[in-house]
Amino acid sequence: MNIPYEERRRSFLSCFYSMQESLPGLLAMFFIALFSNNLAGSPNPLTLENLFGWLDGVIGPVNHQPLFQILNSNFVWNPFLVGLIIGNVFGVPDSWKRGLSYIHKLMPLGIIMLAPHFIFSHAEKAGMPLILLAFAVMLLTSVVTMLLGRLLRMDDRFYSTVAGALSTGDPHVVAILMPMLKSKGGQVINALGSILLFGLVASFLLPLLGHALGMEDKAFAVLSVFGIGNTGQMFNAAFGYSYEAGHWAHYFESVRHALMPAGFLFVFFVMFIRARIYRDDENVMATRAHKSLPLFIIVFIIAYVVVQFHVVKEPAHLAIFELVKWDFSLAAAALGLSLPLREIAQWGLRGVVLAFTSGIIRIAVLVLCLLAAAHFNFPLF
Amino acid sequence: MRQSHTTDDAGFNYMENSGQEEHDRDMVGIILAVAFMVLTVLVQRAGLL
Repeated sequence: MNIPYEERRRSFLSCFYSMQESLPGLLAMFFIALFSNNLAGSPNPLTLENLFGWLDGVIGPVNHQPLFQILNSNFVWNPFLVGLIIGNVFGVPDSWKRGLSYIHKLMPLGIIMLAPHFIFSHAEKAGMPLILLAFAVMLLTSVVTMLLGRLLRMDDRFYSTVAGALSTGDPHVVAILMPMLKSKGGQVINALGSILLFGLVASFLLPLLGHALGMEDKAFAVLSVFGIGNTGQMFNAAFGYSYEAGHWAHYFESVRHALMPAGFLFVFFVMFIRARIYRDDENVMATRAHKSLPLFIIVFIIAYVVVQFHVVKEPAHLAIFELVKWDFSLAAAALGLSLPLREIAQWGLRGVVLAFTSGIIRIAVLVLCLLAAAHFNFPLF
Repeated sequence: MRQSHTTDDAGFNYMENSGQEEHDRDMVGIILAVAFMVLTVLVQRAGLL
């Protein structure tokens, strides 16, 4: 019989449970993280990250990119994959479950510690016209994705997760949005897979479009970074176009990075306000469980503002980011373990349809803006 | 229906996060995040990083 938390609570530290209850699950997360990523302080060479790196060496580069980078392997994806395989092949022992619930402490912890990663001044070199265009396209993509999601009669937690991750150009934003929107694990992973699939297809087809339109290298780099994103995938498109475009993509990437928090906070606040307006509508699920604005989001915003004043300098930022990698590696392991494959599949192919439709609209808008800027000699970058 | 991946035989579901428990978990996450960031900055300012 499960004793309700309120009855066993003595202080807020009661959520750690007893060592005996939580240790097995914590060890499971720890060892999955340890064998998935090269983490700071761990000398273990037998990681999935190194295996992918070795396979990349065997396969050779694709458009100057490691194949597994194009497939978006990273410190979230790797432990998630290992957890998913272990959970689906062997199941999850009951003794692990208290420890695995630490995912809910790790999520706000990781999100707040990401703040020093988003420094607006890093984007200034690209110039204000381009920053404003990228910002406008990001918000437009969010709005279009959410409207299309409603048209497709999708669960609002699902389409808002797709909207946040697609518009920011970072599929792993799904993990940040999960505790914000209260999305289901299956929705989060379905959204991630849908956006990665769109990015993969777009990254090989976009150079064909660029050549057909005779775009200059710099303009195509902008199209890759803000039309696809997803780091490895946008570099695949840009380097697939030309070496020069690939280099410019590296230059413009900082803008996408700096704007990312604005993208996922925009989606959160739209859904949060919507849930307050339509309190009685049972179809409004996203953020509904939040009684008020979650404190960890307020702390993230404060931290985000504070770090803009260069409070966290290098190498402190790098040290904090290594902690973020540890944090999300552990959390992704727990998320992977929680999901039977059918829970990902149950949300169907609507995520794919949504990601492709919105993604194509975004590319069309960007192409029009870039061609218009070239035609009217507007100094966009 | 019991979700075997996340729910133990006592009925504890580790992916459930609500009420006082959610509040406490958030608080732990916030305190640790702020502590880690402040500590790292202070260590650097002290010339130890």
